[in-house]
Amino acid sequence: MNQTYINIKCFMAKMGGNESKIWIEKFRPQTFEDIKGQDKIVERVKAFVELKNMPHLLFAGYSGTGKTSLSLVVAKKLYGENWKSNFLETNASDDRGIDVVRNTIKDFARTKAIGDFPFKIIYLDECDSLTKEAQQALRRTMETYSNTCRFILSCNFSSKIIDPIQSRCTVFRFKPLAKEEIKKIIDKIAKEEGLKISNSAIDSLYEISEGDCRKLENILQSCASISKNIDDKLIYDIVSQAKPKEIKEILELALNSEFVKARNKLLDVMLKHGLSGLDIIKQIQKEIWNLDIDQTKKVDLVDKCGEIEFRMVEGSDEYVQLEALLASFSK
Amino acid sequence: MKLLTEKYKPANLKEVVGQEKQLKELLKHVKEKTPVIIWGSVGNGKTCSVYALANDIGYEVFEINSSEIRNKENIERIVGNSLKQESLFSKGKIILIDEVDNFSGVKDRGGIQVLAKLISKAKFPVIMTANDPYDKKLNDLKKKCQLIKFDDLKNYDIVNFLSYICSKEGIYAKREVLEDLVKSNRNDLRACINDIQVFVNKKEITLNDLDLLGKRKKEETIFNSLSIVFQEDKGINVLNVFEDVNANLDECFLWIEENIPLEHKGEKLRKAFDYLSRVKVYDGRIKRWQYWRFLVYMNALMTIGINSLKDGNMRFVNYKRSMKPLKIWQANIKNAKKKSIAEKMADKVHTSVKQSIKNFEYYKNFIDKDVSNELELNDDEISWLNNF
Repeated sequence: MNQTYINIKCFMAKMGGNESKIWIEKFRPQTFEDIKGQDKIVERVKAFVELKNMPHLLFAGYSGTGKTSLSLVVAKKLYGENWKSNFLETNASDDRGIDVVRNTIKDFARTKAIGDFPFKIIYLDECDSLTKEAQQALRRTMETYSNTCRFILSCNFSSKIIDPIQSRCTVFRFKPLAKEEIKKIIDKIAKEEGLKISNSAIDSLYEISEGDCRKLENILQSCASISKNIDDKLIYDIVSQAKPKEIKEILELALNSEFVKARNKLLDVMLKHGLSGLDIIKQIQKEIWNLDIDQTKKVDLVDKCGEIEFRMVEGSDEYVQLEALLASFSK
Repeated sequence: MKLLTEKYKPANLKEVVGQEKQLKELLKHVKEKTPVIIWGSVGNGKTCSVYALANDIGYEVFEINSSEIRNKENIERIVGNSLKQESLFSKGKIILIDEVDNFSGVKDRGGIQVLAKLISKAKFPVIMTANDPYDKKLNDLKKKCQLIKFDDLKNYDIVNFLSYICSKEGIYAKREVLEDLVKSNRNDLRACINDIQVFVNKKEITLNDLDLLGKRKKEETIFNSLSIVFQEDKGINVLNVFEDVNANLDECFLWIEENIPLEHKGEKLRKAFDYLSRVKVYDGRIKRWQYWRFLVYMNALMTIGINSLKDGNMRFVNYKRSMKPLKIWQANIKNAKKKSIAEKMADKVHTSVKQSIKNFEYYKNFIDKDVSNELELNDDEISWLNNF
C-alpha cells in the first residue's frame, strides 16, 4: 500500500506534475508549452535551453505573468530531476540587503555546476527592491562568476535596475495575460476541479485579476472552497473581503474636511488588513469615480493619485504619501 | 551685588508672571498633599513659583536639584528621611525635586523608581519640575502624580515685566528692543533678565547691543521647535531648529506629521503634506542610492517649507505625540502568526513573504486540513487561523 503511494508520487514527479493542494503550485506550468501569453519570450528562452547556453536574463513585468514559472521550467528542462542542486532561488524583497549578494549568492556562484552542465542558474526575484549598493555588488558578482553561473533577474519595473546590470542582461518584458489566455487557464482548472463557472463569472474573473494569473488562481481556489458553482456574486463576495469597504468611508471623511479622522481610519485599515500603500491607492483611484463631486475635481484627484503612486513606486514611505493624497481631498 | 534674577524673584504668588490658573491648581494640590509634576519650557517660572507659594503659606522648601547625585541610595536617604521628619520649628514643608527629567541614566540609576515608591507615602507635599514630561523615564512617576503645564509666558507679559525691572534699575530701553530680546530668548524670562544684567552699568540698551549677546544655544524641547517651525515669523533661523532638539530627524518628522492638522486646514494642509511627501521621496532616494546629501533637502522642506505656510499669528497649540509607532507595534504583535503562516506559504509557492501577506485574504479561505499539512503549520497557527 505504502509502496504504491510512493510509486505514484515518483511517477507524478517524473511526469512533471505537482501534488500540491495549493492551486498556484498545482497548476504551475511544467513545460514551455504550458506557459500562456508570452509566446515570443518562451520561444527565445527555449532556444537557449536547447543550445545549453544562455546570457544573463532580466525578466520585467507585473506579478503573475509567468516570470518565476518560466525560470523554473528552464531549470527543470536544463538539469532534469536534479534541478534543485543547480538552481538557487532567492527573493530580494525579503532579504534585500547587500548581505544576500555577498554571502548566499557568492557562495552558490563560486562552485561548479553538479553533473555535466556548463553553468548553474541563480534566480533572483523582485530585484527592484535591492538597494543600489547591493546592485553594484551584484554587478561585480555577475562578471566574476560568469564562467560558472547565469543569472535570471526578475523585477516589476526594469527602470529600478541600474544600467550596468541591464546592459549585462537580455531583457524580456512580460505582458499581463490577455483575455483568451485567462479563459484557457480557467477552463483547464474548471475541468480538473469539477467547477461550474458561468460566462459572466469568467468576464468578472478576467477584469478583477487584471491579467495576473496568481491572483486569478487564488480567487478561484477561494471561491471553490465555498462552492463548486461559481457565479458573479460569489466572486465579488470573495474579492470584497480582500478589499475593505472602509476606503469609501475614508474618502468621504477626507472630502468633508475630517482629515484627522480619515487618516486615523486609513492607518487602522492598513494595519488590520496588512495592506500596502499600492493596494490602497489602486482602490482609492477606482473609488474616486463613484464620489459625489464634479467631474473636473475627479480628474484632478485621479491625476494626484498618479503622482502619489509614482512617488511610492520610487521607494518613498507609503503612509505619508497617502496622507498627502487625503489632504488634497479636503476643501 | 545681587543678581537681578534673585533680586526680582517673586516673593509671593501675586508677583509671579502669568500662570494664574496653574498656581491655583498647584495650591490646591499642595494643601491636599498630592504629588505634582510641573512642566513647561525653560525659564517660565516653575521653580520660583514653588518658592513664592511656600512663602505665601509659610512653608519651608526642601530642594533637591540636579547638582546633587540622585541615585537610589541618596534619594532614599534624603527624600526618605525628610518625608518622615517634622520640619524645624514645626513649619510645614514642601519637597521640591527640580528637573526630574534630568535624572542621569547611569549616575542616578534607580533614583526615579525609588522616588515613585516614596512619594505615595509622603507626609509632605512633593513638587517636581520637568521640561519634557514625555520622557520615558518618567512613566512610572507620572502615574502617581498630577501634571500641571506651565504655559510659555506671553511676549506682552514678559516685556512689561522687563520694562519694570529696567525702570527700577535706571536702564533706558525702548519697547521694541525688549520685544526683540524676548524673541531671541524664545520667551525664557530668566534668560531675558540675565541679559539685562549685562547692561546694569550701561544705563541704556539698544538694538545693536543685542547682537553682542549672541545666540543662546540650548537643547530645544520638541514643543518649542514645533511652534517655531509652524509659527515663527522673524528673527530665528528656522532651518537649524531641529539641530538642538534631542530627537532624530525621523522623530521630528513624526511630530510634524501628527500636528499639521492642528495648525492648517484646506489648501495649506494640502501644501504642508505635499512637502512632507517630498521629504519622504528624498528619504527613499537616500536609502536607495546611499546618497546622504539629500538630507539637506529633507531638512529644508521640513523646516522652511512648513514655516512658509504660517499666518503670522503666534498662538499656543497643544502639540500631540504621534500614536503611529505604537499602533504599528501592536499590529505587528497581532499579525505575528499571520506572518509566520505567510512565510511558510511563500516558501511553498515561490513568492516573497511580502507577496504572500498581500494574498493572505485569499489564502485564509482555502487553507484546509490538506493545505495546512502541506505547509506543516503548527497547532498554534492552525488555531489562530480558525479564529480568524
